[in-house]
Amino acid sequence: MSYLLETNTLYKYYEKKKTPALNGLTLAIPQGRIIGLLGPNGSGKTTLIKLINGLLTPTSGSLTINGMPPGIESKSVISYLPERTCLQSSMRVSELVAFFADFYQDFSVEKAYRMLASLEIHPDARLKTLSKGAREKVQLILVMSRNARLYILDEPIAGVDPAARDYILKTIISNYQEDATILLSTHLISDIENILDDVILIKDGSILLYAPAEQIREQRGMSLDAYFREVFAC
Amino acid sequence: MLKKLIKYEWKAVWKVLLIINAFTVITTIIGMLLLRTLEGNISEVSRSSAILLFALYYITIIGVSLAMTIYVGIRFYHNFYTDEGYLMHTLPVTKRQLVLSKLLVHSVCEWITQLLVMISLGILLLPLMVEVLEVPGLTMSSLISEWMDLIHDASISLPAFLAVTLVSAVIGTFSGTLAIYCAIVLGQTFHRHRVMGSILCYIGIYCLIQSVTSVLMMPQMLYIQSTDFNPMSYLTNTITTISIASLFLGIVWYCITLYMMNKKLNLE
Repeated sequence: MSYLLETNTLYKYYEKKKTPALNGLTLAIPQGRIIGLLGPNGSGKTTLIKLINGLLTPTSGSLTINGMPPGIESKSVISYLPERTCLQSSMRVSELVAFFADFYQDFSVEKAYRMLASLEIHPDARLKTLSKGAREKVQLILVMSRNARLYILDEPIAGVDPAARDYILKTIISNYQEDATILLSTHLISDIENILDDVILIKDGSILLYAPAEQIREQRGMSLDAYFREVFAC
Repeated sequence: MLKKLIKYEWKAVWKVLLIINAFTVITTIIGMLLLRTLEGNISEVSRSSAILLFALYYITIIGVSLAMTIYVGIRFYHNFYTDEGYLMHTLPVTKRQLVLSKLLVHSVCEWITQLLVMISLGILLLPLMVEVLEVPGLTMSSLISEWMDLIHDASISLPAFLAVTLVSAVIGTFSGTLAIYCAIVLGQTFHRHRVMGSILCYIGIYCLIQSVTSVLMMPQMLYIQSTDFNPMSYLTNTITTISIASLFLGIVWYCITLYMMNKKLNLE
């Protein structure tokens, strides 16, 4: 079986920290799944995501996306939503759409404008004039307007109100190809557990559990949220 | 992809370029108007005013050049090593294309700024010295003829001299811009206070440039004391030597920048 994403004994040490952020992490993710990357703050979720996107350099170990190390090819098949606003605030929404269309061949301008219209975000508005929530939605729209093979969404529902969470999850579910994989990082499990196919529990930079969501619920007799609270109880 | 990166970089910086250079243009226009009022009115007061004007103008021109250089550094840092870096480093482009797009656009900005500064100096300072301050024995025609004589004595044609100067300016700007980039990427290796780290790295790079240039200029220093000294030959040789040093160092800064971005990127 070929995997979309594979890591092999991946280590990442940050300077002046004795414990690794990723501790020999080995993982294989197939295509066509919605996977929750779950863990408490500081467990290594964002570090793993940054390594996949080539924003960090691993200390040791290997990582491939579609059989290739992070590079131009991997970046053209990954659609990444960082946990922070990475768009130039001085740009207009329409300019950002043009920017994405220029650089990503799989970007659908039509889809982007359709989603913007549904949220009543004016394309001529400059990003800096929009509210924080609206800026995050613009970023999500741009990311989900691509027909990527792997969507990596880092804390897409953190810091937004419940209504916005619903919109974001609806946008994610209704805008990806069936054969694509979504890797969704969060610690707000109750909001997303119904959409997950698989769950990766990560703790101290290591994989604690990687199993289908339904299997966890059946075997443990509890929701993912309850199981998460049990595993990571302080 | 390089063309697209250049297009978006230009879109991002042209307004700042316009604002910075507007200072040069406005200062020059004000200077020209003041110059007119001083002409034919060479009292001690007007002479002092002219010197004051000269000083203020000099500060503005230095400030404009410095502002552009600082902006280039800030833009590079902000676009690659703050939140915006999360987008720029995940674009399906090579690091070489990312650096080159910035280098080309930022160098053009620097050239435009320098060119305007030189034009401004030409149209303001020469008349100030010749017509207002009335430096003894100095007229516009005497300046030009003396300059032409020096070129003739130095056995270098005017086009050749201009070509050497132009190439030197191009290399110098590329190299200077790359030195800023190099300092910023090296600053990112600091555990904390990375901006301060970049500034310290730039100071280090600047000292290195000065040391290398000083060593390479030693033969020129000996030439000054020789009997067949010609200022134009000295100038041409100096420009050539500095250009070669700039070219070599520019390649070093470029390689370090690319290596650090390719192998040591850590957006924490």
